[in-house]
Amino acid sequence: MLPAAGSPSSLGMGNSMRLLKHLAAGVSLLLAGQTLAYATTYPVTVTDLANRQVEIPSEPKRIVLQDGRDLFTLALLDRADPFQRIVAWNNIVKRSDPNTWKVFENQWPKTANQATDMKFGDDGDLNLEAVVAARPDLLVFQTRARTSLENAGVAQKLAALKIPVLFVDSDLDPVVNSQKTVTLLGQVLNRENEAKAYIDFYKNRLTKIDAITQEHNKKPLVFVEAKAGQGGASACCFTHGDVYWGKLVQAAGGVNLGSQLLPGATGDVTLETVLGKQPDVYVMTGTQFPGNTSVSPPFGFGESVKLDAIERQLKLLEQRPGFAQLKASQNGRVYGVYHQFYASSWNILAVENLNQAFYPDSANKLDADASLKALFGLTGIKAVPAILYAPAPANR
Amino acid sequence: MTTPIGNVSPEASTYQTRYTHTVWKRTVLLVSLLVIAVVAFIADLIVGSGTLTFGQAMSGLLQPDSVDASTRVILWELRMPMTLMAVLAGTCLALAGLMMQTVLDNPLAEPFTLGISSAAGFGASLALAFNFSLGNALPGFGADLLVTGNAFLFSLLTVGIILLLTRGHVGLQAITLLGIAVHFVFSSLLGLVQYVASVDQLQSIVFWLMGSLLHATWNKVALCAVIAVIAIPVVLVQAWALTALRSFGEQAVVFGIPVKRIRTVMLMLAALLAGAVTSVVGIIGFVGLVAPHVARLLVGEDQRFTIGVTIACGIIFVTLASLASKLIVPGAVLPIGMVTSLIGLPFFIILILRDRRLTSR
Repeated sequence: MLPAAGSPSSLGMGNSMRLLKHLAAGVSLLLAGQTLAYATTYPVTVTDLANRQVEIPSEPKRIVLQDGRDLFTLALLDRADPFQRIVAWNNIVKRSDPNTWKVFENQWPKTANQATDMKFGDDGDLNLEAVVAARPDLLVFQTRARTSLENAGVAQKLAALKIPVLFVDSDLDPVVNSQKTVTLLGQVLNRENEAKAYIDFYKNRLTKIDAITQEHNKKPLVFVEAKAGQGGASACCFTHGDVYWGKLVQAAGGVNLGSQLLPGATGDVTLETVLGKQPDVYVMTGTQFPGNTSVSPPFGFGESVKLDAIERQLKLLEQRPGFAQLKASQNGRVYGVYHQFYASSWNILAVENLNQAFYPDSANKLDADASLKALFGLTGIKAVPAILYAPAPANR
Repeated sequence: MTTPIGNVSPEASTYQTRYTHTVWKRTVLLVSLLVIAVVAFIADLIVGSGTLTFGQAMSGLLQPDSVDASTRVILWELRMPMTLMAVLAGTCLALAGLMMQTVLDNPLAEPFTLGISSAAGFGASLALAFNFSLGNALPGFGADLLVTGNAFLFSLLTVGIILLLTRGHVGLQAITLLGIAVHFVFSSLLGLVQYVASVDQLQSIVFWLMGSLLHATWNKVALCAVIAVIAIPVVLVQAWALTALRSFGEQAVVFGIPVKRIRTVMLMLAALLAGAVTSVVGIIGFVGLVAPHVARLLVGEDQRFTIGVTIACGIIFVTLASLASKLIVPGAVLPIGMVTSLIGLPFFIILILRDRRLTSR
C-alpha cells in the first residue's frame, strides 16, 4: 500500500529522495565538466517550432501534452521517469497501440496513469478549465494544431493565463523537426545533456543512411500505404503526401509516390493508380490498433508483439485483388513498418528500416538491432522485444 | 361554362391523344436517361484511374480472355466493383429518397431524414474506434465486414426505434419529428466517439463519413444488389398506390389503398436501401434529396415514370461523380460524397430556374 500523501513516512521518503537526487545531480556535475555548459539557466527565452519566442520562467514541473506521442521524446529526456512532469495529456499511445503502452506502463507502473487523460484532439477542443485545474507550468502542442487552437481562441486564453505554450513538431517535417523538438524540449526541461546525446545518436545514424543513399545512382519509387488494414482488408490505398511518411521516405533515400499524387497531406488513391505507376517498393505501415476490426500488421514494442501475427496480416493484405499484378509484390519488395513512428522523435529507427528496404544490397551496413538497443540505452526503458520492420512473406 | 366530361365528342379523343402523347414523351425521356446512365457507367469503367488505353479497356470488357492478367484484374477486380457500387448507390439512395418524400409527404425528406446517416456513421465509428460491433455476436462476420455490418445494423435500428415508438398512431409529423430526434441522438453520439478517438482513428472516421467507393468489394456489391433487387419490384408494383398517396395523402384510403401499411413497408424498404449503401460507401448526401425532385420536374407526379427517372438520375449523378472523383486530381481519389453534390448541382439549378420561368409566364 502507498503511504497517504502528507503522512510522515511519505514526507520523509520525499525529502530523502530529493536529497539523493540533489546529491546525484551534484556528483554528476562534478564528474562531467562539460555538463555545466549544457545546464539551462532560467528564465530562458526559446524559439519554438512555430517560430515563436517563448519565455520559460523556471524549470517546468507540470506539463500538459496535446499529443501523447511526445511521450517518446520525454522518455529520452526524463530518463528516470518520463511521466514525472505530465499532469494532463492526450494518451494516444494507449489508444492507438496498447502493446507499446504496456511497455511504458510496466516500466513506470506508479506514475504511468497518474496524469489526467483528457483525450483532446487537434481541433482546439480543449477543456481549458481542466487544463487550468491541472495547474500546468508548460503546455506542449503540435504545430499542426496551431491554426485550430488559435481559431478556437484557446491560444489567446492560455496567453491570458500566462501559461507558456510551446509548439513542437515531429510529423510535418519529421526528420528535421524532431531533432529540433528534442533539442528545444531538452533546453526547456533542463535536460540538455540527454537531448544532445540523442541528437548525436540521431545524426550518426542519419549520416550512415545518407552515405548509403549516395552510393546508389537511382532512388527507388516508393508507395506507402499508411495504416494498412486498419478498417479491414478491403479498402486500399490511404497514403501520405509530402509530410509524415512522405518525408520519412525521402530521408531514407526514396521517392514518395504519394507526394506526386496527393494535393494535400493525406488521401486515398486507387490500387489501379499504384499499379499504373508500379513503384519499386511498397510499404505498409501498421500498429496494434485495438480490436478485431483491424487487420493491420501489429508492429510495436513489448512481449506480446509476435512476428507470425505480423507476417499473417502482411500476407492477408497482399492477397487483396490486384496485388498479384504489383511488381513490388512479385519481386518480394513489400515491407511493413511500425506506424507510430510517423509522429515520434524515435523516427530515425523507421528511416533506418526504410533505407534497408530501399537498398537491400547495403542493408547489412546498417545494424537496426544495435540502433534499437542504443536507443533503449538513451531512455530508462529496459530493453524489451520489439518488431518495427519486416519484409512481407513472398507472394507467389 | 361548358364541361367536356361525359361528352362523347372530339374533345374526348383529344384528351386520349394528349395522354398517349404525354406517356410517349415520358417514355422517350426515361429511355434517354437510362441510356445516359449506361453511357456514364461504361465511361467510368473505361476511364477508371486512367492506366489503360481505350482499346485495352474495351477488349478487356468485351473479351476478358483476350487481354493480359493485369488488365483483366484492373477492369474486373478493381474498377468493376467500384463502378457497380456507384450504380447501386445511385439507385438505392435516389429510390429511398423518393419513397421518403412520398410517404412522409414532405419535399425536404431524404433517405437520411430518419437519422439513418448519423446512425450508420455512429455504428461505423464505434467499430473503427472501439471495435464495438453488433456483428461480433454473429458467426462468419469477418473483420472486413465489421465496419459495414455495424453501420448497417445501426441504420436499421433507427427505423426500428421510430416504428416501435409510433406504433398505433403513425402520424406523419410524429415520424418526421422522431426521425429528427433520432438523428440528433446519433449525431451527438457520433460526435462523442470522434471526440474520444485517437488521431488515427479520427482520420478513419472522417474519411468514412465523407464517403468512398474504395471500400467496394464483390461481396458488398452482391449484398447491396440483393437488397435493391428485392426492393425495386415491390416499389414498382405499388406505383399507382404511391401516386394516389402522393396526390391525396391520407385521403388515398378512399381508393382502397391501405395507407398505413404501405407507409410502414415503404419506410422499412427505404431504410434498408439507404442503410445498405451507406454502410458500404459512407455518407453520400444530395442524391436522395435531389434526384426525386429532378424526376418530378421532368415527368411530374406519375409514379410509374417518376420511379424510373429518379433511379436513372441517381445512377447518372453517382457514376459521373465516381468518374469525376478520379479525374479532378489525377492520381488521387476525392471523397465521393463531396463530388456527387458538385456534379449534380448545376443540373439541378438549371432545372429549377427553367421551371420558374415557365410557371411565371
